[in-house]
Amino acid sequence: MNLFLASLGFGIVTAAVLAIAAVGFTMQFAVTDVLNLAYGAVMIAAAFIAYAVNQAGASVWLGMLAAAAAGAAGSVALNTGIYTPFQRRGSAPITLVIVSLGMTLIIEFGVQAIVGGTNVSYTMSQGPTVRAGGLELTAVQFVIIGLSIAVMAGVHGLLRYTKLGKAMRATAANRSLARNCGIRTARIVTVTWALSGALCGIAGTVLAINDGSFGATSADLFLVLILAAVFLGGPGQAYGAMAGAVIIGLATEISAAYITPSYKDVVAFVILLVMLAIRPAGLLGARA
Amino acid sequence: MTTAQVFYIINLLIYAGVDIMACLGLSQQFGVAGVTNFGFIIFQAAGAYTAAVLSLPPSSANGGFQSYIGGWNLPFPVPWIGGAIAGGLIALPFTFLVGRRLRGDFAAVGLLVTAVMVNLLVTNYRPSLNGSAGLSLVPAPLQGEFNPQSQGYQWAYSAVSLVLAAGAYLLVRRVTESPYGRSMRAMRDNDAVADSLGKNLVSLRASVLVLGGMLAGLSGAVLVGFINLWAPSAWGYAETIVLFAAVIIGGAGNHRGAVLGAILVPVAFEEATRFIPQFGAPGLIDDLQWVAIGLLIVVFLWLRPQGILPERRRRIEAAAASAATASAATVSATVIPTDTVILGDTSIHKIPVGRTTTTTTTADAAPGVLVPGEAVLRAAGLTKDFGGVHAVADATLEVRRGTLTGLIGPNGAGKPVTGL
Repeated sequence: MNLFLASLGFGIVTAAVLAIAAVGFTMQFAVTDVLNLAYGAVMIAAAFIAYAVNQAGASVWLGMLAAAAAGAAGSVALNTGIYTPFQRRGSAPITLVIVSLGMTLIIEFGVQAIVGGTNVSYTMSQGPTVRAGGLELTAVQFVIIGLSIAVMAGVHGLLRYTKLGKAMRATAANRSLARNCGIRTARIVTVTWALSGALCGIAGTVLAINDGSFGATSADLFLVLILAAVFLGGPGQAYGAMAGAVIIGLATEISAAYITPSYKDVVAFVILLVMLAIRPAGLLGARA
Repeated sequence: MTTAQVFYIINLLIYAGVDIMACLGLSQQFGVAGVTNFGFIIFQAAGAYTAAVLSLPPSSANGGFQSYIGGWNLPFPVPWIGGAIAGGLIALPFTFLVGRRLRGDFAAVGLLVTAVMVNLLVTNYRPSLNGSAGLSLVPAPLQGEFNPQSQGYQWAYSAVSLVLAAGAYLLVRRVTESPYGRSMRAMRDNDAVADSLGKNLVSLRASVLVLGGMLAGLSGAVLVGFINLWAPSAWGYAETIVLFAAVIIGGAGNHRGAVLGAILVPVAFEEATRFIPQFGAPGLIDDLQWVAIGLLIVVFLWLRPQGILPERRRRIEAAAASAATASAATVSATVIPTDTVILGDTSIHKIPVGRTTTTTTTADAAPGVLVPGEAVLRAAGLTKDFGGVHAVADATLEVRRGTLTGLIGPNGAGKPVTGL
């Protein structure tokens, strides 16, 4: 029972990190139809921005804000500088996936060329261990969970109750129709990539905090988890990605407790393959 | 030339043979059939591991320092054949990902993730293939009869590898030019049209996966016989991207381009630069090489997506319409020159148009009012596209007064569309 509770705690933290990342990824896909495989590389690049701020003596949470800004700027640059020109030329979605893989190599190994191949850690205190109903987590882990809940609430509020969110949903549903209705879709796409890029930067930082140490290639396997969460909820579905993140986070960590930890990502992988084979539109699956 | 230089050249020749084989397999899958197989490197790995365990002695040999299944100690050609078969067999389960219902980019992501995961599994599970340390001391082919370290042996090895690469080239060219290869190109250009013409997309994709898988498996077997070791670090998912870079730069869909790409990217760029003097921090050159591979892909896809050697545009002249004319019982039959059918990268798959018009003089033409033979409707260059389907391409039409003009053609020829 203790084993179950401990793994449940880890699962909730992983789900929290994953939810931030998956929502950002799925929003990018929703408005531009791009499966941005360079997302993981941008996460790590942003985490290193936070590391630079942290090394300069500031708190890692301040670094996270810098990482969010860097992730937003980088993602907008990536979309307007690379993906949009390809799309405007009429490139097929598969060409964009190949381009995004090329960008993955450029960003990931560009970061590694700068920072070197060794893993680094933030200078921070994990805070006191908190016990709550059998769960045993550090204060930092509680902060991550709270942050994730706040981000999810923010995304929910944005999409449901603001004009911008409504325009984003309209652009995602049908871009040309949205433009005909007077929505400046190009601007909405840029804003969406900025917001999702900020989520990407935050996710990269909290992933690095949660893992303890990180290097330039740390997000390779985490991208599998993101993809699994996104496809579980249906690509382009923000709420689906949140639900998918919770399921994948819990499934990987709880299975790690009972099988071998080195195979925990395989659970996510199997879920992803089954979803791709049976229901590529996701469990909620409205859009094919 | 010093001995070291000779071995360096031999080394490059063998890598050229291996990479050409692998790139041809990928070119067949990606360039010709349009299957973006981001898991391609798994097939090469399967071939290499199979060849290794077929040729290695049982795992208790050498003091049992590595553990693996098999260890059958089989003589030379068997491991290579086994490697090719294993590459083909392991491709089969991938069919369910590239089946017809899934978007191409979703399937590609599934294959990429599979490559990452298979590598993770092999790395972490030691008993089957010795885990992350990999297999070493893999016997070279015929090492009992010859000395694998001798120059003669190595020259022969590079020759065999290049001959196999040439054989692979002839094979894929043959397949691509066959009617079966035409079906694959039709599927790549517009799978909906190919499907509607009765092409079985699932079996086409399955067979091209197996064909490419066998070439990759063979290339892995040849490679492991030369370098004598094989570990998960040799086949990370990114190695597939190197092969993709080669095929894209050389020219997707043109097998000569694949050969050129194989020589340019994996051989000239990766292997030949292995011995340049190190500078900067350790690993810096490797990192910069990966950045350059990524840049090459993006820049080429932007500036020259067809590659250095583009795919040859195939022009198929439409069958002469004489047969159709003969069947029409008419006083005078005018055959309108029909268009040429172009199958290529820009004009997608076009339905063959065998359209003729037959004109028949009618008896009750009112004299004075109608002048028979005067053209009342002329149209040239009629073209109508529905998305990627060219329903009518550059048709010419002339209707004369006092005639009944009919428009005939097989189903799907675009008869009503011409009327629009």
